[in-house]
Amino acid sequence: MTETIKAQKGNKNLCKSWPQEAVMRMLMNNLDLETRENPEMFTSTKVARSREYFDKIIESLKELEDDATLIIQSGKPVGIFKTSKMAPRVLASNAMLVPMWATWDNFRKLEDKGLTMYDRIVAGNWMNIGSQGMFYEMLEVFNILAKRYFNQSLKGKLIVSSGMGTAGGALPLAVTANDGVALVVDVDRAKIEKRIKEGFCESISDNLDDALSIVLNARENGRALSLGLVGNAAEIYPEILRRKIVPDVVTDMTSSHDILSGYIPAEMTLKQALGVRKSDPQKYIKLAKQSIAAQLSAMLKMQAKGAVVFEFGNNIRQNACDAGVKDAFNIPSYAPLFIRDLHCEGIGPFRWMALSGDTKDIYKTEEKLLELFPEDAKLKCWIDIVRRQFTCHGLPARECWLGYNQKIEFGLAINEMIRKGEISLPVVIGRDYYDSGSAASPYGETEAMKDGSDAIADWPILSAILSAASGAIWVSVCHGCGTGIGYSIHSSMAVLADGSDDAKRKLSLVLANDSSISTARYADAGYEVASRTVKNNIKYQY
Amino acid sequence: MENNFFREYARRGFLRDLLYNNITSVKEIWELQKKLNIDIQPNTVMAVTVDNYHSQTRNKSEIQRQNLRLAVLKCIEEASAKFDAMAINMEEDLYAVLFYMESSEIEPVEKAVSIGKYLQEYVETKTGVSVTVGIGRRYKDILDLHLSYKDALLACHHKFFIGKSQVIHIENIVPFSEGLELFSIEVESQLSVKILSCDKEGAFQILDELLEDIIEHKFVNPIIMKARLIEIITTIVKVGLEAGAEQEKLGILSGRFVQEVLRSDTILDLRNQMREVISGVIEEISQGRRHMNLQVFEEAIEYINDNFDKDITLEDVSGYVHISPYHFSHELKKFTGMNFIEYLTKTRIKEAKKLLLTTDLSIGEISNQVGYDDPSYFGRVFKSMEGMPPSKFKVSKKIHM
Amino acid sequence: MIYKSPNGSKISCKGWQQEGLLRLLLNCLDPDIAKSPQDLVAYGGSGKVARNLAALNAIVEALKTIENDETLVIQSGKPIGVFRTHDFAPRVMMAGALLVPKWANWDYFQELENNGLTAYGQSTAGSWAYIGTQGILQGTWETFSQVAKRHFNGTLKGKLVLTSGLGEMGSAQPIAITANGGVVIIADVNRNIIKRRLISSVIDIKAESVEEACEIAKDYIKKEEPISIGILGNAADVYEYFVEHNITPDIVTDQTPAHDLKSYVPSGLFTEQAKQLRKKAPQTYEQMVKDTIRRHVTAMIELKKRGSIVFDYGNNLRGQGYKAGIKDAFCFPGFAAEYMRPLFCEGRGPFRWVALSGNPEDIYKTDEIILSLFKQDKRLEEWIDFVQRRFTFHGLPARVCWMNYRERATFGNIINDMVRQGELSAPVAITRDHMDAAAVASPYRETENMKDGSDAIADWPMLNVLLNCSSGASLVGIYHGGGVGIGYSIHSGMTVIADGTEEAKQRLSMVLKADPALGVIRYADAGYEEAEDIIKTTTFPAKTFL
Repeated sequence: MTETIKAQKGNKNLCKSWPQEAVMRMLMNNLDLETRENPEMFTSTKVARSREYFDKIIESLKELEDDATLIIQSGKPVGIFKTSKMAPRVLASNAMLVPMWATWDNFRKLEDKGLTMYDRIVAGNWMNIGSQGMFYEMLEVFNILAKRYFNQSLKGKLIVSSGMGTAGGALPLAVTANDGVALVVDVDRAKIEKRIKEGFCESISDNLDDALSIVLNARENGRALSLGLVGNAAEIYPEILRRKIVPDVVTDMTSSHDILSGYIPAEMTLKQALGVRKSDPQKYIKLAKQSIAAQLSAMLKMQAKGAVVFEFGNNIRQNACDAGVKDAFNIPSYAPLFIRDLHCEGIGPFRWMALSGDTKDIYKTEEKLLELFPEDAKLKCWIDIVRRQFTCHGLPARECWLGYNQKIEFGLAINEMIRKGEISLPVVIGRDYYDSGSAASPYGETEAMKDGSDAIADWPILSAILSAASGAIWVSVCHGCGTGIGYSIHSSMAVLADGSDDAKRKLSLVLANDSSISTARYADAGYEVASRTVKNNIKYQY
Repeated sequence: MENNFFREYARRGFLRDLLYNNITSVKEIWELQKKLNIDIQPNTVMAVTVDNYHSQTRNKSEIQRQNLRLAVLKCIEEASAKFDAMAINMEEDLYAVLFYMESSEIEPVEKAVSIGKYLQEYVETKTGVSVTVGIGRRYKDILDLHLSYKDALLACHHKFFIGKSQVIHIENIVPFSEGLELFSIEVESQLSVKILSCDKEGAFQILDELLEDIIEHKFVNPIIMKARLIEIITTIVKVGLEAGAEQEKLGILSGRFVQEVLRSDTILDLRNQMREVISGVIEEISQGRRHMNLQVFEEAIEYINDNFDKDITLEDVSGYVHISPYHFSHELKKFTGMNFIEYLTKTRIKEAKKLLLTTDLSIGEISNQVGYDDPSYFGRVFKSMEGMPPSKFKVSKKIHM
Repeated sequence: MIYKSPNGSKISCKGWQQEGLLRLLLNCLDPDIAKSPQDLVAYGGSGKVARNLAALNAIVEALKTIENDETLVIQSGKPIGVFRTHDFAPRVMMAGALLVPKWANWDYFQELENNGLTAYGQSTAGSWAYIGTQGILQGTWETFSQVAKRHFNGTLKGKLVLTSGLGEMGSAQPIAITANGGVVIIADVNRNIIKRRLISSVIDIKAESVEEACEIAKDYIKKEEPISIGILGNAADVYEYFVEHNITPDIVTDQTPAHDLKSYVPSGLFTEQAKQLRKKAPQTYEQMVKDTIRRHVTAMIELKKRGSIVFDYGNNLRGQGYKAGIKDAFCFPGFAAEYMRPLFCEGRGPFRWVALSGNPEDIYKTDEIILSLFKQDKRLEEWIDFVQRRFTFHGLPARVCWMNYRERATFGNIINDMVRQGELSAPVAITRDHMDAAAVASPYRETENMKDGSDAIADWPMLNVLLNCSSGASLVGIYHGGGVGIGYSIHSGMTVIADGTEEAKQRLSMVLKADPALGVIRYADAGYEEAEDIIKTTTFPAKTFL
């Protein structure tokens, strides 16, 4: 798989119309980013079940008519149907299993037979925008954390985390952006170096003693700082504890939701780990679980000593629990703690991507965004950071969190810009899987719901169907994202702004409905703020 | 005009077919309904019976009866029209009303009963004829409509216990028990004794006790009960015959009362009919006995029964009871239809048959024991009465048993 | 409160799409159709049409007010909101009883249900497409007609079927078997049920002993005349009698409530005694049930060895037998995998339509169209003739018919034309059961033992619902746990209202092709050649990647 796939840019279309073209560019861009960030990972983090199917998808999109829909079953294209212009051009379902069979064991068996495909957080979502995708949410998380626990600012606070992968790699920056001190552990030196190169992290250390003296000093002086420490969290966390150092905030962003191919057990080099993974997966899983247990036990103790400890949605508590740490769930999840309030207000992720490939288009839209909402100070500040920190790979894209009305207003404004020719080519608008209505994940977004509806999975599916009925160009549902097989159901969508009246209609429908059903989900669960938001926005409420 | 007539005729035939379960295709039913302009889908049936029809009309001419029937039918039709129901006559004293009950009816039984009551009152006020209405369950499948009719008939049968002029819904009645043991054999023999001794009041008392017991403890299907009472009538008539009542008279009597019992509408009717039977039989018996002192006669018969194995004569018997041989012979003939020799022979052969079947005695021994000195003479007499010689009788009966 | 669908051609909604769905919803609660309308339960244990009374009223209200470019969204029987969409979008979309898999079990579900957070929609109760027992009758009829086709030259004439269970589902068996010309001996332990079935002609005769039943059967088999013979007795005892007396029926199956061991009556007890013992000595009872199940399954396996066609009728008998210690309990197949699969492979599925006028005439007219349109299809003709004779319409008249993808689309368009031309007195709702090829993932029934092992893959019903939504269905819904219970199935339903308009024509021609075609693809994808052949050799409505 040496061939590099690059997203098509500019106005030379390979497809019959912009919606298909947009979907195809999203998909190619996805792979573009993936291969750029993790060149060795192509086979594990998949956008298609195999290269053959990927090619078939691309080929189909090129031929796809304006009123046809391509159906993709767990990364395999299975049919093209005649539908309507309002219908999505692509419908996808990933890794869905009949619940009683929804375990990793069964899943792996089916995967080995080539019958399904695992959708890791972003891959099945074709609108992958790299580590930027999680960054804005992280900014929000640390912002709210600061507000709630530390008098508005993380100044002089030590935040310990682990994992510098696609998602975790942005954490140091989110901490320093909120004026805190970040110590992030990862076994893979290369990953840390990469993050430093990209500007997410400031420095690196191979030695705990050095690292601690640096970060403690910074905490003392109230200086914002980020440091990557090469090591295994399962060893480092207990050691920090042994030294009687209590960080202010502790979390974890290792790939603990995917024990076999994500998490690296303690006392093992990366290379060794890759070896055992292949030679003795069972042993590997056992070791990994032991390590997870050790790491989480340390986190629990830190919590007991006063640290703010939370899980960042990677199911580490469940795995620790399975490995014998009974009170693993004493640690709360980030979602109910920090994100739920935003969801109730109808605030959620919004991302947009310029199909032109021209970064200037994104800049123009950013200016438009700030111009539309001058009163939103946070928005201005963070957009600046994001713009500074994220060089746009592949197709230039941006993500930020916007309120209900902001999304619609901004979406329509982008369309208007295209119509007027202020932006050269169409822009595709979507969001993360992790919006409020599109997630059912009792150890993630829907943990500890007010009415106990954590495990109700109707919402993400309704969200997907509603998007399909509202004019989205791409709709996808998936099982097992984030917290692993058996633990979550999500859905996602994308809609196109191409300056046309048709697009204007679709944008206003999709953006309004997507936010509405999300907020309705929280209103239904008894959150009053959400009920108020809904009352103003949904025509009819039961 | 003619068309209408035929349509009406066909409509009735169709409705009867529905009630007799003669049509088994839903679609066929639908098509017939369309053809016959029947725009309701009946799902419930009411049965309307004229109370005491037979006793009321016994003395009426056929024309008069027909007029009564038409008047009742007309009233039922008029009342039915109020509920979009359809009425037809099923038997002489029986009408069926087919109607549609909303499935959404919250209290369907009450609703149906109120329709039934309306209908009953309407008929009774207009014609002065007392009627009882039985109402069946609602069956949602048209193919099951005949079950509702069955229900309705069964409900009607309950007037037997409850009394006439009623509206009875199948859901409101206790189902009849299906047991056949209404009364014991002893009751029959007790009754026989009372009748033999012409004790009318005594016989009535036994009858009343029997019926009371049935009413209180055994809520049986009247049909079964009537069948059992007919058996009793048969027994009583047999007793009467044996006691010398006139065969022809009893035959007419029993024939009439079997019908009356079958037609009795209520248990009270039934009691009255039974009383009449008993009275009738006792009357016939006493008629036959008027000319002779019963006791004397019975003594004579007893003497014959005790001494038939000996060489007894008419004179022996009449001498035993101190009456003239001529008078005794005359009375005997009147009572039993036989003269002395015939009666004696009958008694002897009866005993011989018993011995043939129950013992291993030889023909000679038996002949001797029943009073014949000459076995071959016995054989001839036996053959003349039974149609076969004693030896053959023995073999054939044994095999048969 | 009693619910009944309005009928006739006057509507109380803003369009026929909404009106049609409203009528279907209320029809599911018709006292003549629903199992327990006061609890909003249409059928199947506790399959509800709405979460509670307030939700139902709100749904009715919403259907009456939504515009022709709006969509009502329903989450497990509770209306969530009305959203502006577009005229070609569904007017109603629903998801029901879906749970995150790890939490998908009965106990947890019931807890959520008790807290008012979800509702069990079975399949067609939740999607408002339940039409009464005709569906059950058709399913059973279709099964035995498939058995006849596969093994006996298309007829059960002169064949003996041994089965058991005269409950709600089971009593369709004798009707379906005799309709296919066969002789059936069917056992049940409940004296009253046998009596009821006898009165309502579900069975023709009640034999006093197995011996007598066999003699009657012999006579009718010789004459090649159909008869259904009921016997009072326990299935295990009766089946063992056949083994002991060396009588090998042609077909052996069973519809005792083996899936629910609390309702399964062990040998030696009658229904009432069983109830008492279950209360007094549950452990003894359980042991007795186990013993009986073991004997029951053993006898069936033995009869299979002797040449009977034996299959499990979806009541998990094999599973229970296996649990009771019979290792080769799964040596005989399940009916769905064995007899329904070939139908699914050709995109044939449980298609149904409902006359919104309430007039049976409309359905009889569509029957006639079917008979003339699909003249070559003898089975279809037999079914129509059979159901016309045996079935009384309740609520809105409806017809169930298994049709393949081409037939569905052709027929749907004809119905729409008939509505437009006024041949039918009002629009018609076209819908189906959830147990269709692409619509269901259910590893213990419809997707048992798939060729490629994809039994538990649940992408297909998801894609099915998304595709139907995109193709113009009037209602789409996706559900969890129908038929086999929470945790064991995911399935989707759809309805299109044929109101005679050009728009409906478009909706119909797309949905009625796409919906079953995705099913053919699902089976082709799993390696079934029959399905592949259809895709390759017919003018298939979708482009595929085979």
